[in-house]
Amino acid sequence: MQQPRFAHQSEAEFARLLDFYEVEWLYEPCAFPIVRDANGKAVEWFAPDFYLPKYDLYVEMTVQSPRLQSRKNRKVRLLREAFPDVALKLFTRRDVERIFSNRLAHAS
Amino acid sequence: MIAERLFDEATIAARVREIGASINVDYAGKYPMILGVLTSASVFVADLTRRIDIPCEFDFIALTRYSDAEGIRFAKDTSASVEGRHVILVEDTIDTGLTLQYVTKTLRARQPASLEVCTLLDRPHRRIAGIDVKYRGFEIPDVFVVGYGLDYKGRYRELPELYAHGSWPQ
Repeated sequence: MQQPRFAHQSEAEFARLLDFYEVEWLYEPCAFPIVRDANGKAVEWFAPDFYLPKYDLYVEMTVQSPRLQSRKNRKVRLLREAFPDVALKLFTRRDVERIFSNRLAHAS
Repeated sequence: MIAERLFDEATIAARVREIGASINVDYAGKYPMILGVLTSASVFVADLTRRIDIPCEFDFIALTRYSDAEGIRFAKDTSASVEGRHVILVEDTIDTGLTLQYVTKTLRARQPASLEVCTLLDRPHRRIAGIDVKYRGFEIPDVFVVGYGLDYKGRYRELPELYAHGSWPQ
């Protein structure tokens, strides 16, 4: 399967991890309208990085920059408010590194 | 570098005894197969099986490492068939749940009479795959744990207690 153009290395690593476990994934398959104007028109969208169909779970990767992290947290909060039934997991780069190191070492 | 002790010997032994007692009740007359995942669950399996006083059998599987380009596989399979058996899969730690998801899917395809999961440690912070855990030793925070069979680059397995390591392997 041709790999998508990932925005960050941590996303590519996460995709590799999912491939190892034979977990089907989609990269940015859809965008959710998270802010609407007074007329109900969507003015801001949020496209989570991964969707795992088997678990009906979206995964968003975050970077360490506090400024970007803050913006990401806001989007996640708005998504959860607008779509409370959508399951979304937020993973930091550190989370991905720890999954790798854990798997390389002794567990997962 | 070991940072702090999480669970001492007495606490671990008490919890293992409780899990063993539950298994004695739940599996009375069923001759369960205790199936440990090598290598880190070996100490837990050894202690747990000695707290089970109903007839049982134990066996081990091993999994390929992440560095294996072919993906996850059984590097060591069961010695005996699990078909028709009451299997208790024993892990040292559940993290994402992806490893366990693979193992349970593979074992279920072999048609055991039942399959339940027992883990010494549960670290739910990064859980992706929903796993039904019937027997759980301890829930832990997001720390790397060594001792009681768990290692850091091959070290510390022999320690009788569970410790948080100061860093994660690179």
